[in-house]
Amino acid sequence: MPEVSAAGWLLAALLAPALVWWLHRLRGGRRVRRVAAAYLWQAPAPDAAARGRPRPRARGPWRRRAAALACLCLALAGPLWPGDAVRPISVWVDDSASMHVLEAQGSRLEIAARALADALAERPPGPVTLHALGSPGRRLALAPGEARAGRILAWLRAPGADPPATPQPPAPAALAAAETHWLVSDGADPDLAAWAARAPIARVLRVGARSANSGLVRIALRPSLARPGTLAGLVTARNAGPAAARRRLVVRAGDRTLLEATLDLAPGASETRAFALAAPATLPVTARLAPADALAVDDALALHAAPATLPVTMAPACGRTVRAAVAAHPALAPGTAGGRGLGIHCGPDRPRTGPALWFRSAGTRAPLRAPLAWHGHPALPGPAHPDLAPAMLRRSVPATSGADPSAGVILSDAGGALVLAHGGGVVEVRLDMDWPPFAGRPVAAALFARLADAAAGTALLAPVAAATRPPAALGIAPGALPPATPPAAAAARHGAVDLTVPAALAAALLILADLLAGAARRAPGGGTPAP
Amino acid sequence: MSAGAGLGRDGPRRPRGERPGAAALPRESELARVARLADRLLLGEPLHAGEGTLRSRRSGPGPDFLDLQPYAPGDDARGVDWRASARRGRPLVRRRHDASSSEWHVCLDASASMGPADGDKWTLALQLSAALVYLLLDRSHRVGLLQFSAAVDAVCPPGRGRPQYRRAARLLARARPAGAGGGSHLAACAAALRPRRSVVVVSDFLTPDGMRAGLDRLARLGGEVHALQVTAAEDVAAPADTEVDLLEDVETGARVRYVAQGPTPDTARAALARQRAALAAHCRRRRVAFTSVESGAGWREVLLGHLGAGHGRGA
Repeated sequence: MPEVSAAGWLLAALLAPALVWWLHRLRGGRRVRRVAAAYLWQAPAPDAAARGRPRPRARGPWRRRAAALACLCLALAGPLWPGDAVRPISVWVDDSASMHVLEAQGSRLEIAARALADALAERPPGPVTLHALGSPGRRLALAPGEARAGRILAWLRAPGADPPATPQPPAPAALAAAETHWLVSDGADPDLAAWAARAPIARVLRVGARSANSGLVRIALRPSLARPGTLAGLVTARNAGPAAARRRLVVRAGDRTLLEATLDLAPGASETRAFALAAPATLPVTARLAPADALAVDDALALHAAPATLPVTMAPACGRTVRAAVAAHPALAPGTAGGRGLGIHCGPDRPRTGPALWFRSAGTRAPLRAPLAWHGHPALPGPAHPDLAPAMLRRSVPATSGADPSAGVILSDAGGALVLAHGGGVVEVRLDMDWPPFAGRPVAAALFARLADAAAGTALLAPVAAATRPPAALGIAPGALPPATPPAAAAARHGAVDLTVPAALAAALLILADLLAGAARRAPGGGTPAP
Repeated sequence: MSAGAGLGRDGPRRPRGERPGAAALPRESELARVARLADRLLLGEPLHAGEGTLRSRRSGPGPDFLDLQPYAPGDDARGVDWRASARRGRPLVRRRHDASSSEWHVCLDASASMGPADGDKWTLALQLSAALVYLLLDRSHRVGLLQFSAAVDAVCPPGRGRPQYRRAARLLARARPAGAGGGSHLAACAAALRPRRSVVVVSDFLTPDGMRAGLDRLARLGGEVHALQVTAAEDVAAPADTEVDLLEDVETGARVRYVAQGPTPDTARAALARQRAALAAHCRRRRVAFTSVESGAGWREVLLGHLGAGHGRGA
């Protein structure tokens, strides 16, 4: 059964012949021929008088013209002769955080599942595959006739996992050309709308109405620099809705309330509050906004890890400067022998494994020869300490001692390397840390801290534990999605034949035939129409 | 040019600048040959100059015998033909043709029904008009030409000889039937002529009254009246286009509904035949020489046929 994409033109095709007939009937009876003496024709036929005035009839080739107009209207209707096999459908479902917004009829996911099931029920049974946009690779193949809202919803609600923050659609070119592609989304993510404009989306199911939402975007802890043994925390909330919101913020660690505050959030604004807790922290540290709004998922944020300290094992031969530096370092804590952490070795023997600081000494104490050169290290961005001067330093290893060619020189003077970085996280220090001009100065602790960062491969002085949520995940306002280009229902089948061109060709041939016939009729000998 | 010398046997070349309409007119050489045939036809005598053969039936002083009429009081007794009177047993007077030359006018109908300009009907009418003018001039008559439709459209005043024929030929070359409208008002010609003028009317006579009133007015002038009816098959042919519903009179604009099925296609032909017969009877009663032809006939045959029917003879 052929189908059309514009039913209005199909109706016009049915009415066109009647219109053409009526127009030709109006002008019927007016074909006039001039004669030399009309009175010669005036003798009436007896039965003509009895019949009365003859009824006007449609004159001219109205049938041919009606057929031409009908074919033209049919071509504009976009007729399609459907094929046999049903075209597979791939449904790209937005399962990001905004789809968990609670609307009046349920969550957006529930609404989407029902709408999708209804839309699939309208089509001929065929293979359907659901793709989760927030979790690339996650898909569900539905058997023909299996598209039920409950089945779809159960699949959309991934158990135990937080919903993805934003959808991650594939490249438009990756969409199979032999399939029909649908999109189910609330349009809250602008990137998804841009993707839908480029992708061959045949149908868009748009859900969602609410737009007001505020949530937590960050909670972080770090060791307090002002108060040792204390962790300093920050929590940030943001209003992603169009109207101001007042929410109550509560931060708890275990059963202890660390912070309670009322936040007045302007549209688009963020608020950050600080809190503190004693180290070690009781985990998790949770932040929550009350009351819950449309999207409850982003009203809570938990931090499950505290800023970590690095355990240190120190050799007994290390001097007091090194010991004092370790004690002063907030990120270092005494560790057990043989445990993992930073090893501090003092002596002539190189440690076998890292990370380790090796304060090498060979019984030599030699002054440095200017200038000092700071070569840096990937773990030591930036220049040397400004107070580091050759006068306050003394070698602990003779300058003639060779260096491992594979080692990277961090600090050197004219006499050779002073600090080297070996493989495996071992940093060799050829400085006399207990040299009085150097020991006890803040620069000694600072240098030690930088060398410990180099050995550990991280900035040990800035340990921050944080849990974050992308601010874009708070946006739930349904956005505009580009209009789909739904093909005719017949196109859902493979092998559909477009009948537009044949219909247009038939109309053109009929019009041409009418023009040729009209030219022949206007040749001398034919009648002339009445003016 | 001497009287009766005729207009020459070999027609001159057409003057430079003559209009294309002149192509329908017969050549003067052809006209001269027809004139000689007409001479023999009308008089049975060899061609000679000076004798007008298309004579008026008006009697008067002259050498040529016209007819015998019963004696009526007032007739000249010297005209009594005693021998014929003795034979008939009653007194009869010999009448003679009026030897004075008569004036003829050819009235050509140029109404819309005579068209189109390139049609056979109009062409034959032009040819007959030109031939009649030539023939009459050859007989030393004074000949004039009138072109009429709803009124007199053009006039060539009467004259004699070859120059007069040239003048008449120029008028005929310019003549065109009206495209539409107007009518055929033969009485306008009668109003333009003086008494005792003879007239030849060349027309299709396609008016409801067959121009009988106009012919009567011309007959009352006192001269001879000849009527040559030229019709065409297209005048009564059924429309080829079966979708024609109305027939419109090209002169009056009157419309008649046409019914393709039924007797209507034959109605016009029968009506024309009836009208022709009535016109012929009327002409007989009014002593108007009448000939009806259909376009397609040669002008020579038509003209000689009209003359040979006794219309140009003296009784």
